[in-house]
Amino acid sequence: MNNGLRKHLKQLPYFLLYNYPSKLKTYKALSEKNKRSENKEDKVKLNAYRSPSPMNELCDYICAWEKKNILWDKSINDLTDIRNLIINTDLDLSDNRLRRTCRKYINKFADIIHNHYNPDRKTSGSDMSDNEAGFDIIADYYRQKLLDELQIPEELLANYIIDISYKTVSINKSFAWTAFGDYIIKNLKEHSDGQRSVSITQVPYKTAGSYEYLGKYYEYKEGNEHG
Amino acid sequence: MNTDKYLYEIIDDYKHAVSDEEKNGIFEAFCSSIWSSPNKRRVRTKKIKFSVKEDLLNTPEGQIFNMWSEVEYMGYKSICKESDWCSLIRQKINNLYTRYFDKEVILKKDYLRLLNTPKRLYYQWSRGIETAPQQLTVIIGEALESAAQLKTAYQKQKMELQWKDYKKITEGFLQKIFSNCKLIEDYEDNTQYCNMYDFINEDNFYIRFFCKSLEAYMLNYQKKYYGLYVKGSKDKNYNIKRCADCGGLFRDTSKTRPVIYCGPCRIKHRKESQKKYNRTR
Repeated sequence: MNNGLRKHLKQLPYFLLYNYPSKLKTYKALSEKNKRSENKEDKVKLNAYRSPSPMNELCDYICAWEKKNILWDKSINDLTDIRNLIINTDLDLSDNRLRRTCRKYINKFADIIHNHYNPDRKTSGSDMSDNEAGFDIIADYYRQKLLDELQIPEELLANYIIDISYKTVSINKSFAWTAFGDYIIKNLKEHSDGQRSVSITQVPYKTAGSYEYLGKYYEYKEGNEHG
Repeated sequence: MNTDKYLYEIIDDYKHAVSDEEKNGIFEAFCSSIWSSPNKRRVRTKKIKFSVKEDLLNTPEGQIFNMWSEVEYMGYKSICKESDWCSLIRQKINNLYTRYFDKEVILKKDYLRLLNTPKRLYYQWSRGIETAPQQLTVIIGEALESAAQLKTAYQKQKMELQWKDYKKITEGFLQKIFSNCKLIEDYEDNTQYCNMYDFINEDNFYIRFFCKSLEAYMLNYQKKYYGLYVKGSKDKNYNIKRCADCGGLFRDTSKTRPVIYCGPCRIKHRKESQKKYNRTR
């Protein structure tokens, strides 16, 4: 057997794949291919061996933890639903000129954050020093600048910013949350169903609507959060 | 000037342009901002420096090392501090020219390692590894001589093209990139999204696409230059190698033994060895 063939026969322990991203990619592609092929003969040998060793189990544990705590749902289809929840759908947000200006400021704010973490770099897009103040003050400054420039009500501006920020996953969402976070919460509350709030409180003596449990009396009350 | 605009705005305008004239206008403005960018290609002489300690200067070894305390080579500005799209794309264009066409700038690892020999030997010596002074001169001399040979070999591997012509072919690549580029929202719909960090603006996605595409188009250009490019070919069952003589690329189709020369060089070498053989007979 020549060296070229021997190289392909080599199998890594599964956990070591995470040290070699290209091999992990191959592993995933091969296992995907194996899933699709029904005949046992068509299945290809994987480039890693997944035995129930302590290291492989630890690796699985870390992956499960990462999935739960770090990775988030990458589905783009949910974005439309999210957007509909956090904007005021009654407003007309179709003016392209306004959208363009708002989008520019969203990206400027991203530059500010970027500059904050990379003080050596210069950006032509931002017109305010990142060292000047915190992000809140810069967001307020941009909000005021946008209001002066566009001459539209603040609520309409907020909805434009939120709508643009949630149009794609890749657009910066910090500006929307820092400058117009209150509007997001307000819209979200308006679009959510009023949740039933339930309370069980202990009363000192028997009343008309109370229940007895182990010699004590409790009242069960139902109410709506939004009144 | 286009530099006040973000790159995503330019692409957006280009994609939504109604007529070809409008598209051409946007593209020309883009090209003129790239070529008028202050981030020009800069080549300069760099030095591999070290200083011999004063108390060691009087020793024979110290004097030899002092002679080689500055070894010069040509370097270039390969990164820029600015993070706007214009400077970054121009930097990529500059780097590609230097890598593929500039014969003065050779920055291969093995070449630089050879140039670094005096410095390496000095620190070995200062740590207590003794070498005879005569031997030192021989080692350093040989290393620098082979560095010069290596430089000539690497120079042969570079293609011939003037900056003026390079600008033309780059504009061709950029035109293709403009027509192939997808808007960020279309890209996300069909495949994965490209950024999940709040400190990165949308331009980042387009700059990455531009740089990657320029690099790929340059590789294709290199294949075309050596007559190896086949449009749409996905046949990867052949090796592309560098000729050991002329430095050009050639396709190695032999399956039995390794080939080191391209077709014309192989014939030339065969003739030479035939002549040599005839002379010795």
